[in-house]
Amino acid sequence: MDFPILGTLSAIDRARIALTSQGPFFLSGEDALQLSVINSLAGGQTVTIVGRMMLLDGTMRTFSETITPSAARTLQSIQRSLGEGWLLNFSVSASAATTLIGMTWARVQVLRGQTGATSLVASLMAGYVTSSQPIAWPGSPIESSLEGQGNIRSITGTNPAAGVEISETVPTGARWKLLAFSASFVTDATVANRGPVFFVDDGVTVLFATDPNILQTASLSPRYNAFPGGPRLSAVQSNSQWSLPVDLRLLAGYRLRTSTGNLQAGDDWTAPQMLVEEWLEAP
Amino acid sequence: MPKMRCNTCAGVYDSLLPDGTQYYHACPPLLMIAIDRAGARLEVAPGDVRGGDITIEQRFPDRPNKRDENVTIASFDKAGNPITAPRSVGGGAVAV
Repeated sequence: MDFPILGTLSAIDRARIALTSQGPFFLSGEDALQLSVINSLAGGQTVTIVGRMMLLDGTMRTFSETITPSAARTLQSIQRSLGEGWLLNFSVSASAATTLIGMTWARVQVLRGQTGATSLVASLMAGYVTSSQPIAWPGSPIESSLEGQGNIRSITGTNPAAGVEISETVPTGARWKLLAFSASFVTDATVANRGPVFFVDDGVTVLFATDPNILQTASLSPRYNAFPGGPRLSAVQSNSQWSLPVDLRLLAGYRLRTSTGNLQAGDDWTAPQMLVEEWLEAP
Repeated sequence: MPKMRCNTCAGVYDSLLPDGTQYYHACPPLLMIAIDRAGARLEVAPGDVRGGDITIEQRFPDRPNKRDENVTIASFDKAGNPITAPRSVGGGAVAV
């Protein structure tokens, strides 16, 4: 696209160019570019936006802004005024080489106003970023934080004390798809029939419960497993199975836990191992 | 990062996981059982159920002084970004 000496044009001519522009996005002096990020990776992750802008006098300027998001999966933003002119392009990437898709989600918007009350003018781009897979405008789509493949995570939960049940909570700002759950249960020498039941609840109300169709007696240490679509199964080679629904999605605050009938003070669950696909929940 | 032990439930956990994400411990709930004992409805702990009691329902109340490290938005900074805090500190946790 040819740019005349813009500073010599009237306001009407500049507006006409802006209105007919296919690529560049005109920013008035009152507009601000906002970079918002949600992140789950600890250890100093940063997200940087780098871009180019053409000012009214025809000069080209590059800009760069960096945000250091917390790992708490809450949306954090920075706003910067770029002055008056045409936004030509930008790219957003994460700093940490260990970033995986599903860990750091970024969104770039244009706001009218820079302090106090602001209003959203445009959403230019959104999606997951890594250190080697930036997203860019123009080109990248506006993707929800729940689109596409999430981050596959193998999570070791809390190892409960003897006589205490397992309970794992989906973290704030996360959405999980449960792929597998496994833990061993060691019974003490007390003669009693234990009934390990696996519960999924929403933090308060039980959504479903499943048992493995067997009672566990004293001094045993089988492993209990759960995976979507798997059968409810009693111990075979020391592995029992709870049955899980297919495509089980869990919101923040939902819990995965055990409740064991006749649990004795010396009975001991190991730390559970969970395989989940995780997305970040952008508000 | 060291392993942590919750002072409320004595669970042991890593606060930083190998994939670089933080782990947020939350104490498991308790189990209380509503029973019919000789015509009277009572709520008892599992160890207090006697022969002849009829179980009516199970309830899972929060553990007293429950610790829940999952974050909630406590306030916002001058830029409008959230300042987070644990949902419930409970009895705290110590490195082990």
